[in-house]
Amino acid sequence: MLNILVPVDGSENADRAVVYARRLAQGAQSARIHLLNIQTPPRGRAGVSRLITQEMINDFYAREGQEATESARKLLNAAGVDYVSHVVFGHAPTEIAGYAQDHGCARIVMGTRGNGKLLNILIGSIANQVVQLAQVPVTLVK
Amino acid sequence: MKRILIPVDGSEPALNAVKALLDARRYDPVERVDLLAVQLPLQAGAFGSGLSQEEIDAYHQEEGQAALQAARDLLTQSGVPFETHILAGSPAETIARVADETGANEIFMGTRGLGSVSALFMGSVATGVLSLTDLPITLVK
Repeated sequence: MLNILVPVDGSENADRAVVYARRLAQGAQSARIHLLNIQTPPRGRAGVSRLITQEMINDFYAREGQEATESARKLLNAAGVDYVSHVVFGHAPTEIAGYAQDHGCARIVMGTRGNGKLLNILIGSIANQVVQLAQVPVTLVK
Repeated sequence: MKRILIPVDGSEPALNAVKALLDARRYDPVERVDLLAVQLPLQAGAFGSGLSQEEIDAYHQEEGQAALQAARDLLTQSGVPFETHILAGSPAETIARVADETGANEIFMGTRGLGSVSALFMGSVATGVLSLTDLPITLVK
């Protein structure tokens, strides 16, 4: 079975990565797409108010994560492609690389944003670190 | 069916990019591969001895053929149709231009080539190509 990891954040570029991964999945005898959204809630003193607990903050980010995977799930539902969807908390590149390894994902497909010079800065963040940490091919889709 | 451009420089990541593409054919058929060896241009008059343009071109060809060899062998064994290109120029710009000229649908490439020492960042060539093309790029270690 071909397992493909697609980190998503609800952006159009992430949707294009989903469409790319969907095509790969449809070409395989059996395949599963793993949608992964990473949330990084502020911790510690962010919950300092007695009115706002860490749990409330985490709930909020979990909902944000669910919403961020919604358009990707629609794209896959429409095509009848097998998939799972997860929201995790943590450092995005580490979570992505770790998930790929733990779930035997042979490919990582992710959207990249931006254009021109800004791209270098954005690439410098998540995609760049994923490429460094991952042991499998990483496809960057604009 | 897709056309794929693979820049190669004889490095292990570049060869791994070829292997990754061949492996992916099980679910993602490939029509044709273009292998590209980009040579950093030597200037006429380099080394002070006044090499002729013919000598420089011959040098680029020789180096390019060496960079292509292992990838060429793999593709020949696999039976995937391919063409090879040797061009002198700036790597990222040449890769993006050849991708355009060959009608590539995607680029597969090593994360970094020979002589790139940074352990922390994606190779500057890969980053450069990404900024110059809208094609999907698959980066392989």
